[in-house]
Amino acid sequence: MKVPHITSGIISICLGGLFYYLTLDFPKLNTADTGAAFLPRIYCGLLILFGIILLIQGIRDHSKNEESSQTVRYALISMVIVLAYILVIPYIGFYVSTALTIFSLLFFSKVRKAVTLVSVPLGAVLFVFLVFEKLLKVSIPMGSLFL
Amino acid sequence: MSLLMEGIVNILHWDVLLFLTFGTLLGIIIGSLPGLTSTMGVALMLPLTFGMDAVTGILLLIGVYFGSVYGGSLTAILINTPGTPASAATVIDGYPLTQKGKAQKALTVSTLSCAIGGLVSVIVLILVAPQLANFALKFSAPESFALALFGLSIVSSIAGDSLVKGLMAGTLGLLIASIGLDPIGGFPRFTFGMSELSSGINFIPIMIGLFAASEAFKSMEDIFTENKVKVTIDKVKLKWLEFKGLIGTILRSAGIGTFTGMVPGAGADIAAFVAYNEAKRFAKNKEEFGKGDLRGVAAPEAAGNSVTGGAMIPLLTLGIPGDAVTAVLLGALMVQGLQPGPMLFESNGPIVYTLFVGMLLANVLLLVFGLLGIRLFTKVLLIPQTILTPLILMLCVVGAYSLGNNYFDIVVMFIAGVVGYFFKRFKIPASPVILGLILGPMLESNFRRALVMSQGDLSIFYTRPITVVLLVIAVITLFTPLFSKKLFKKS
Amino acid sequence: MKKSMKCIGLFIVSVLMLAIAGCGNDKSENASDSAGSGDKTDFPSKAITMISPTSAGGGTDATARALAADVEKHLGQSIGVVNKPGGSGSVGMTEGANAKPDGYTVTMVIAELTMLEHMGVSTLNQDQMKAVAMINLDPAALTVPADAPYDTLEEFIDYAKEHPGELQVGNAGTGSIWHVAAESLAKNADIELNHVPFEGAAPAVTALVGGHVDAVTVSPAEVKTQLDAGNLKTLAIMSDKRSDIIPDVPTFTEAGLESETIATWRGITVPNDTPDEIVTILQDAFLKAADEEGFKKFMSSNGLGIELKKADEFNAFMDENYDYYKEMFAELGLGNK
Repeated sequence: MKVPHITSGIISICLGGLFYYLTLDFPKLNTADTGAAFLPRIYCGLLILFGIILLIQGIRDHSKNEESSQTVRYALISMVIVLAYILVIPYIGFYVSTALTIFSLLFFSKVRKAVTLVSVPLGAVLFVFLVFEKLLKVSIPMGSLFL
Repeated sequence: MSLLMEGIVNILHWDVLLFLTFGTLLGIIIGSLPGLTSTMGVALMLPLTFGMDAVTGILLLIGVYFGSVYGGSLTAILINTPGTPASAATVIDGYPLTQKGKAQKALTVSTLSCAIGGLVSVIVLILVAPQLANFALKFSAPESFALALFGLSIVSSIAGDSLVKGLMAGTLGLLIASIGLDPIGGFPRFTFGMSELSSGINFIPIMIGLFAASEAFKSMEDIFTENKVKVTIDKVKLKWLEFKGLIGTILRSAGIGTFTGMVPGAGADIAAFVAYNEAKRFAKNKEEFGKGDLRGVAAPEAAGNSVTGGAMIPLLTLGIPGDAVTAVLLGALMVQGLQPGPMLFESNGPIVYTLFVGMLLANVLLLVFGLLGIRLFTKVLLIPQTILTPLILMLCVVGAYSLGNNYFDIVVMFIAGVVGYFFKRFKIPASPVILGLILGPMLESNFRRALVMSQGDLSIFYTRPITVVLLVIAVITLFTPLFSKKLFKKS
Repeated sequence: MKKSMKCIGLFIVSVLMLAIAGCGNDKSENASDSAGSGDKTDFPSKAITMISPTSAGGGTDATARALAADVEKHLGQSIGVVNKPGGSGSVGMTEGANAKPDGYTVTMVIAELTMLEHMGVSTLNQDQMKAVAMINLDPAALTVPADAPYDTLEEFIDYAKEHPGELQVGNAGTGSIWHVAAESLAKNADIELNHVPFEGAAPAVTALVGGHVDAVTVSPAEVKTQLDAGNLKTLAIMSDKRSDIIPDVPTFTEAGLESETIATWRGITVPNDTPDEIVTILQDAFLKAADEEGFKKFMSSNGLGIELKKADEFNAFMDENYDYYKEMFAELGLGNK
């Protein structure tokens, strides 16, 4: 657990530092309470403190890093697919983009049965249409291209 | 008693029963879908009740309310996706149980705990509501601050293996919660000029991302590695002896939930976390908590559902809505010409007792639907991971969006999902973040409001009995693990 | 095999990316609404979307839904209410202002529209929208516990003068309309009050019932339940005429203190470039609907006041509000420019 400790420790310290810096221009209103910056500064201080402890723990740790990082790329690719999905929703709408994304994800995870590749995306879209849009009256984004 | 009998007679009309059943079922569906909250479910059904008579309309809403609190735990246990905030604490032990193949048992415990918790709280409501109501009024800013601090102190018991990482995650949650308009001065903090951020980041998209999306990313990875986790479903039923061991936990949690429900501004999410902590505190054998302990499911479930009856106490006796759901119910009651408050019981006694009987019945319906549905619900686990994972990711997106019809929430959910994935890799627990997000606003606004009220005098925090008691419990809770467990624990 | 999968995955991603690039010229961040290009003469020819800038369950949401149900009858088309909460209403109202100006997206605007710019939350103001009709107005009502030692506004002011800074007045948040109301009372009566902000009006009223604050300045709707239960009493309302909800309570002026009308209100607007004939059709439909018995009953049972204004009056009203709050916020040192 050496690398994760050090990484999360450093991120925690940086995050605490950055937010502390941002609190510097918070105004102190003339009221009885502690002001806008007081508690966020405490939180930042704590983040820095815990970050330092984690960092020390990480440096002292000499155990082997047992976690293989080989598989991360599969998770990263799926994140990219979902990111693309989210980015196109405003343009091509929820239904088309969802069907495309589910299809891509299925294909990506080595599903080759034509029945599955067609029925799962369509079934999912139908489910959202019936439950969310019709039953629960959620307004599902249609996309600017179809307006 | 005669009023209660009259209530039973009033409820035995087919249309009342039909709508109560419909409401409960709809509530379970709404609750199990991430992003759709109890408040939203009740608000969506509200206009429908305008045309109904008082009892039918209100009981429809109550069915939706009770059902949705229960429904959230189904997805929490089965696919690590809390359907409502109330189930955020249930995932800690619920999902590990599913991974061990004990999904049926976990769902049985969850259903039983929910129903018992709900029944206990309604019975408390019927018997001693007026006496308890005034206690709720004693909660002012310093008491609420102390309660929030107590809630936060349980971070040490949900931190998992590394206390430091748990505390760090909790603090991160608090910091994220401070984004947006500062609750006392109205100054926009950390908003970078974005109006979406000025009212703060809603914690539900973060919860969906941290728990559900991150798990989905992780399973995309598992699909490619050979060490595929094959989820099994043991057909082993819950044994009477096991259930007997849980009764204490369930009743204690029901008490915690009913009490929390009464307190204005504190809801099922807080109650569930507090009950989880107390279950662990009272347990002799703590090792299994976080790895799949039935008590870790029973406690938050019983507490979460017993909040429903508790929240009705100040609503019906004082006309004070303690949270958003009861605020909608208050509106529904008033449209029906029922004015909640001390006079309600005198002027509309029969209706009130019919509602009480309806609430009891709603909990019984939960029990029936829950137990009947378990085998159906667990079928979800039979769906191959390759198919389930894309569907969960889609639900994350549509759930985050439907919360406020806001595209921004989808982006928040996605970021939380990516962060949550790395949390998993780095073995940082996600639940403390949620705890910090839920309690951060309550902590800060009440702390500073108390100081405004006392005009800066700190003695307001140590001269009020309830505040002092809660603060002492908070300190004990936070520091117990420090002494029992080494802070600098090596991995 | 694995590699080819990856290629295909990436290919799909790049296709999706191209799709974004292709529509990059569209600035609208969220195009969820069913607005479309309709023919002006036969407006409305399809369903209308009404944006409610608050979350489901609040008073604004309930008003929007009740109103929509009645307007449908007069327009002959269904109206879907969409909640877009966030940023003191700025998120939803900004989206309403940027929607397609064809009348198929209308927005239920709230008093914050004329305050957001002064609060420093958003640059949105009433000039970025076209008024259709005002529906509701609820003035601030100075409310105290039933057992308080003062029964009139005058006695309240006298008490405050004897105990400067001791009276705690709960409001719905710093910079909220009810905070402005309490500050304006303090200024007009030349008294010193301790302003305690809450997250909305309901928790402030709860604190008042619990005896943790001494008074609140919120709308009659928020205190109606407690007034009826006999826990609270309202001393006066900040309006130029009495409220239908609590007709026995005098206005500030009647009670001896000159005061502006400080009120929350709700109305309907459309994007700026919406053709006038469509605005007129909408205005007539909304005003008729707000006069229906069902809507009136809903409003009065919830303690909400109906105040109808046509488009031009509503526009003038908002401009007046805007100028008043600008002055008020500067004076109070609120806002974050």
